[in-house]
Amino acid sequence: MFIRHRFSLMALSLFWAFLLIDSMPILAQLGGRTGGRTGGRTGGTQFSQVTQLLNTALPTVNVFDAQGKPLSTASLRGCYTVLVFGCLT
Amino acid sequence: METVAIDYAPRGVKFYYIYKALAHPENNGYIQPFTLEERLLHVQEAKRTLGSGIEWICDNMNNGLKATLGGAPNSEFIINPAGKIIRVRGWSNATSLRADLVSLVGKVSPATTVADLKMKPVVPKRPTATGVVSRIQINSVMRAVQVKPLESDEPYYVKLRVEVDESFMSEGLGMAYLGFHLDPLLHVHWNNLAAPIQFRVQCPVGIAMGPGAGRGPEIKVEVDGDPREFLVGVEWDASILPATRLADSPIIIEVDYFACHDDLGWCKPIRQQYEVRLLVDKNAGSVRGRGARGGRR
Repeated sequence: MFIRHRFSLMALSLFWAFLLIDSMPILAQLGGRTGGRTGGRTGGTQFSQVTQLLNTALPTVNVFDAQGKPLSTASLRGCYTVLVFGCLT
Repeated sequence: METVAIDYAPRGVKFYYIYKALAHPENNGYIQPFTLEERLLHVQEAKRTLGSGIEWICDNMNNGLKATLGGAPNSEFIINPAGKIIRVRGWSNATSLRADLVSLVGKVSPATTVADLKMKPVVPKRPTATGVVSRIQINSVMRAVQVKPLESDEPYYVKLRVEVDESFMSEGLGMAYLGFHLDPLLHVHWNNLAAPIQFRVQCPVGIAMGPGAGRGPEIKVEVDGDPREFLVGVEWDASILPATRLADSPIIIEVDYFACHDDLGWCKPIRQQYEVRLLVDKNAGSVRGRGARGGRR
């Protein structure tokens, strides 16, 4: 496949080299849509994996507290504990 | 969850947010951290912008806790005192969580409401002058691939994100997105009075990427915080480089750029390198609304 596509890659390279050298705005017009899509939605699989954890022991994983001090999830035992995943986005 | 925590923390229930890799990089301009120290900066930023009193746990850089707890972005768990997971929810829901705790611990009355909190939304800090450089528009499903920064004396003020398109994923021949994004939490901006960003690509045998070098646009505005984005052709020949060797055969991308930090009063050239592996990075998150200034708001 590498050899089969070598010519096409060279042509592709020249094409993009021209675009990159010439101007970014031209690149920005390609496709003509507002924003690409990245990744596929895998939520169903993830939710299924989450559900399977019911009635299992909380796995012991070494993580960190907000100050960066090491923390083991084993230390979360001893009372009812609520864990919620999140991030900035 | 804040209201539930206020009502049930005095009853001995502990509440933690678990900070993990970004689900949607570029939202509000935030980009994926490379190091634990940077992830901790994100935790501080989350505390600042959410104004939450709930404690945070930071997942390790292997995303170990996320992986062992199912990998969902906003899942919720209740652990009993013996360490057993007794409630799970694929997507956090404060109403359901409160109902769970009523059955486990007892009812709190009157329950705290969101209005009681009087929380003031904190706007994320915006980088200098965004919207100066046009964003690349991509009309394809893209998948992020693995990017690992090589050791550097400087923080990665500019972070590389690499994605490949559907054509590459199905045929081994397609396009790759190379996005160099300023990290807003490191408070630097581009110096457009100096030479534009430049990158060079070094591929292992069996992978070709073209052009093998690129240079950012000349910008008339002195400073800005927009990403510098490139689309390049990429080809992988599995008969030369089997899939089993992709992990051991990184593409090396070297980048030169000038960065400025106004508060610290410096402006300097920086050279950094990355290893890029053409393997899907399931922890890289997905970009929504690429092309909006600073990402989706």
